[in-house]
Amino acid sequence: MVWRSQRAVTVIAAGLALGLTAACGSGGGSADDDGPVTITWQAAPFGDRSDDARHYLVDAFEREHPGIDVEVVSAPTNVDTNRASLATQILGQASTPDVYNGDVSWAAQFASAGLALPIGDHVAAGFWDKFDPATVAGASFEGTAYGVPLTLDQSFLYYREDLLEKHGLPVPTTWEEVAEQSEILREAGDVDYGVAWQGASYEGLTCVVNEFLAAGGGGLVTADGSRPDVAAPGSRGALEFLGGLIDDGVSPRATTTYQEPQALQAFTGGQAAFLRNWSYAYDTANAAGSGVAGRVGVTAMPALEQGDGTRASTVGGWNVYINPHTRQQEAALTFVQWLTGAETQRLMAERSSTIPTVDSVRNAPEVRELSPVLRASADNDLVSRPTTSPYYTQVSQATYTTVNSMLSGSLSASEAVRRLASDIEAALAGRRL
Amino acid sequence: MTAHAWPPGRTRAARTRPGGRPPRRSRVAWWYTAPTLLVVALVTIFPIGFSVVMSFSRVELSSSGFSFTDWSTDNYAAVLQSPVWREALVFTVLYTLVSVAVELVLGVLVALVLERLTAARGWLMALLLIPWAMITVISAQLWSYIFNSAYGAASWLLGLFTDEPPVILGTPASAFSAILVADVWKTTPFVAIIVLAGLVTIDRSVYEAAEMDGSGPWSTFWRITLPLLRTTLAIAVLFRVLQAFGIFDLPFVLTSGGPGTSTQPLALLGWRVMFQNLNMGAGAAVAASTALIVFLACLLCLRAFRAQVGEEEVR
Repeated sequence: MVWRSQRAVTVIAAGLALGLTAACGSGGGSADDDGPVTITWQAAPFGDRSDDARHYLVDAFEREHPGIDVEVVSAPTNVDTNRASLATQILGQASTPDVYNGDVSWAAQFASAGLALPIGDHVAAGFWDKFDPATVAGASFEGTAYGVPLTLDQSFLYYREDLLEKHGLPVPTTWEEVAEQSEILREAGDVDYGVAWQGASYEGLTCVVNEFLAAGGGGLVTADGSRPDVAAPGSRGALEFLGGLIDDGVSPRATTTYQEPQALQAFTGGQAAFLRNWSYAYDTANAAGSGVAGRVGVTAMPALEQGDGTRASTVGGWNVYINPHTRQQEAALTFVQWLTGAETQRLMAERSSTIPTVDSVRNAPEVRELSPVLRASADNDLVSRPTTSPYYTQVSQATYTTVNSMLSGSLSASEAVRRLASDIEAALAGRRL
Repeated sequence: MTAHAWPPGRTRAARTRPGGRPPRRSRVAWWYTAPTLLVVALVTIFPIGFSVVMSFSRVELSSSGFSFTDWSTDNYAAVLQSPVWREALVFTVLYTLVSVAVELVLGVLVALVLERLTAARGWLMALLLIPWAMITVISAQLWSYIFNSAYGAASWLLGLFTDEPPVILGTPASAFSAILVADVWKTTPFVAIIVLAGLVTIDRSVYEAAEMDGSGPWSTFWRITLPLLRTTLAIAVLFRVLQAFGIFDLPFVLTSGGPGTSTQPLALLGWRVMFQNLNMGAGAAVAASTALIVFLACLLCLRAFRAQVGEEEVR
């Protein structure tokens, strides 16, 4: 038996099945109208928050394209609530939002669930040449691109310039150095803790684990993405090192409850000497209200001595996707291509401190000079999460719940490795809920 | 509310027989309630039915929407075999038992105190209902500040007795207790108000008779007050079990199910499976099986309380 349900029915049912209500947007004006067409763009705030990128971008676009009006719809800042709201709307066949920002890790899942237009089928093949092939691959599912890279985020190591200078310490390039320097700074009584990072049970911990495993010479899954790779010696050693950071007091025990804001706060409050965080942290740590403003340095992610020197940094950021049910596909494609064009990417780097996805812009000397974060990014070795699997979300849940249990002392490193291997294998096969 | 509908302690003859109204009045009642029932059917029964259908199908998502194929029990098999589901079930059941028990005891105590008060009872009740009236996500956010390991008041207080301030939300047992405290704070007043409603209906002459027979306060409570409160307590337990079993917002805000998945209730799991993993069939199976379990639990509760009431009537 096969039956296709109607839009309203599915929206109501999907939303109310768990007691949630879903709003369903209405379509924009028809393309045949004489006046300008209107498209909606659902996006959470991104880049420097003091100057909303969404609004100046729309203003600039509308000046260049008088025939298209763009209406900004603010998306939830919680990435999972954002996904749930998009999924319920688009699964219910809503034609809006026409264009939306989505996490880079959603591409395969959204593609396989029919939540994103296969943009690769609608633009010239040469369109993708300006991006790093890894970012395009990350936005693709079964060889077709479904999202266009809008911002490129990556993790960095932030450090207290004043404290390293005071003790004559070099900027660390390995995690072992970070641990040693933390010990010196703690013994001197300058800080309570060495390094703050994200260890709570959520996606951010998967990002941390992903880069630690890569630095150790292993990975969450094998290069072809078919099997777990956590039992490899490199992966296991890296996990043990990660757990050791908390056990040895280099990182606070509360790390198991830290998401980005809490880790950042431990650093800006002066308790921690080092911080692992995304690119936005530089401006925030140096802003008024931060206890360490003007004393913050940023460098590429450290390597692990047991590894091959990879300074692994997990790739994050936003892709921009198109709703497959949009009634304004042409206008949506125009807007998406404009957003990810070289000119716009340069504008965003200048005004919002985002890292451009267009290679020529990101590598341009004058863009590099815009901020120490962009300069540091040159030394980062970018590693993607295994997002090309449509079951990536389940792989990530298996990862962060297991490692969080290990960090809070409920599992030993070897138990964690065993459970990770079996859970990731089940997830990749689609056998995990 | 039905708390007064079948007051215990009266004789069988004095009670109105269920369905004993004249047929015409009954028909009029149906007409009046029809619009409400229709709305309830649309927003409750239909979605429940839809998700039950979904839970028994293979749901394929594509750009043309849902398609349901292969009527089977595969989703339930996947759910029942999943260790994540079993952990969520254990947490939810344990949490329901503990929180309802604690809230019932505290609620009865608060109600007994409130009943004695004469002057300020109204004010106190209003004050007590503030936690209940607050939206849970907001109060949960406030609790998360209290439990925060860096600047939280609770961590500071506990830290006075230990070497290092504890990470309250960082271990399974303390995270469980933290959620429990927040829940008890919020819902004990609700239980207290229901119990108070039952207390004020108890005939004072029963107490006077007990006093004349030389019953002390302790035995009066156990032998008179509590038995006469049974139906009221049944209502309170029923409401609380329904709500506790569906707990979502407190763990969502405070722990997001952590550490690991140790504080992940069934409702949060169902939401994750459905809206994070977009695994609609399995998500519907989690929701439907949860509804079935809580329904059975409520029947069991009612049966237990009713059996006791019946026993008393025979005596």
